[in-house]
Amino acid sequence: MIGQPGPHAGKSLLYVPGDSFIHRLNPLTKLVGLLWLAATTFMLPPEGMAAIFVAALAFGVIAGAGRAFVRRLLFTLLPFAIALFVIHGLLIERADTIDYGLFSLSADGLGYMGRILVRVAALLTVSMLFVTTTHPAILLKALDSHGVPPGIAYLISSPLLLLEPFSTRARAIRDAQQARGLDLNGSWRARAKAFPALLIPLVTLALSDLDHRASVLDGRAFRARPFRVVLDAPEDRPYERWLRRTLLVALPLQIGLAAWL
Amino acid sequence: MLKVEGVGFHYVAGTEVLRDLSFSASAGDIVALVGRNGAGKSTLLRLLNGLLKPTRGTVTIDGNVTAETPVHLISRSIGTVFQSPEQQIFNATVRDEVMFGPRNLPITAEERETRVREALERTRLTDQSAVHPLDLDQAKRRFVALASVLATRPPALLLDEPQRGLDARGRLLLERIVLEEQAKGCCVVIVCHDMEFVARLATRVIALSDGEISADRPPAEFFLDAKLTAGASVEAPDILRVSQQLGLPPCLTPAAFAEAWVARSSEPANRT
Repeated sequence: MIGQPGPHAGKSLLYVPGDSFIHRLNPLTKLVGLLWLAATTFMLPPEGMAAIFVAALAFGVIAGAGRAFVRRLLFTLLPFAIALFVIHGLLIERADTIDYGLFSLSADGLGYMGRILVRVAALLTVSMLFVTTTHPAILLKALDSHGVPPGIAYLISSPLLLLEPFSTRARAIRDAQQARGLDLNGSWRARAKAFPALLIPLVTLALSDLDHRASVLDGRAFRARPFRVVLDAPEDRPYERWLRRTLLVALPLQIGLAAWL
Repeated sequence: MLKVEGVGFHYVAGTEVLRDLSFSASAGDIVALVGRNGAGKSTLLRLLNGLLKPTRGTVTIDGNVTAETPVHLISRSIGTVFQSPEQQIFNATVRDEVMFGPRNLPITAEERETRVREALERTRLTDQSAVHPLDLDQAKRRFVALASVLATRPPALLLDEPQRGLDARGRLLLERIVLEEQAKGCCVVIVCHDMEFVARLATRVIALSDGEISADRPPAEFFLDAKLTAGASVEAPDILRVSQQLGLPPCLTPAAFAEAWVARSSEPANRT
């Protein structure tokens, strides 16, 4: 049972199938766009970051990944927001901290928290737009077809490619330990105690897989040629090529401008 | 001990993987679940140990309805040995790994020690008790997984392809352990593609085909019915075919074959 492609196979990829214009964009265009937006986020005021966040969210909804966006953003941003609020709003004392008896609040701290939160939200949403609309296999083909050396192409796409087997294995480990009496639904203490039983096999198996994966890649002459030929490369329209070039030129200029100003 | 009543299951609404399954197994039964890949054997196994909850019907283990009982409590009534033992190994020594199950039980430390020692002895792992489980070969790791379940002394045992990766000696040991468990009154359910193994051990064969039970018979009856074996995509054991070709009564084990052969040789008409 364990190790076989289970009922969740394919679902653990972050990719959401679709035919939106964002899905149809060449993965390299999206990758360069992601880099540009990520860098730009650090140069903009909070309003600009919020605009990027809203725009990426809107594009996510248009791409049909709205539900995945909202769920993942909530799971990620909510605990982060709480932690920021506690640290910057309540714990760190600033010049404008007002004592309300049971707790003290700082408006400056809250403002700082808001700026960090909106920046992280923008970065996360833009990254999610990329991973939900780009299948890792297509990304790999796009990188190969543009002459990126196979090792580097694999390095870029493997985190996304390995996500599915990793999640499948994590579920299998969870099942195996639960079937041996591990309580995963009890108190926080019980859950914390259960953590090593889930994490250690996942890490040791991932490490032991490295050797096997390397042998399989070598066995398939992965590095036999400096570049790989792709017969069904994703479409790369002229305007996309121009857009990528523009963004790649704009990126260092923006960084330079921001440093100068 | 184990009761499956009108069970249906689907991962995706509208596509039933299992349909209207009903059977029960009692203490001392060795039930072999057979069928082609994708027939629903593994899903049924996960329904039996509570990892999946049926979308229709009920699964009852030792009086507990799985849909209403947490998995870690069901595990006290039914132990599972999965196909890939390394997926569950996380302790630094074989002994600690075997101790994992008993540690999750409300028993004394002394009782835990006794159970672990006994499980290690039964699986011939006493000498390797201080070794890291991942330093053992595949077969030994399988026995580590088996020992960790035996140490919890569950009244029912689920074995998913237990004989896979075992050499002849390992298979003999496994068979001996299964028969010992049967003698103790344990109900054993085995998912298996090895029909020789099924023929030697099982008291019942349940064949799954396209999510339904296509046969629930004693092994001799099941293997003698070509329609049933074909429906489950399995082949009768060689020894049964040989015994039939030689005109002997149907034999499922080498011992039965030898007995039938000796009996025929000793018939007056066959003496030279």
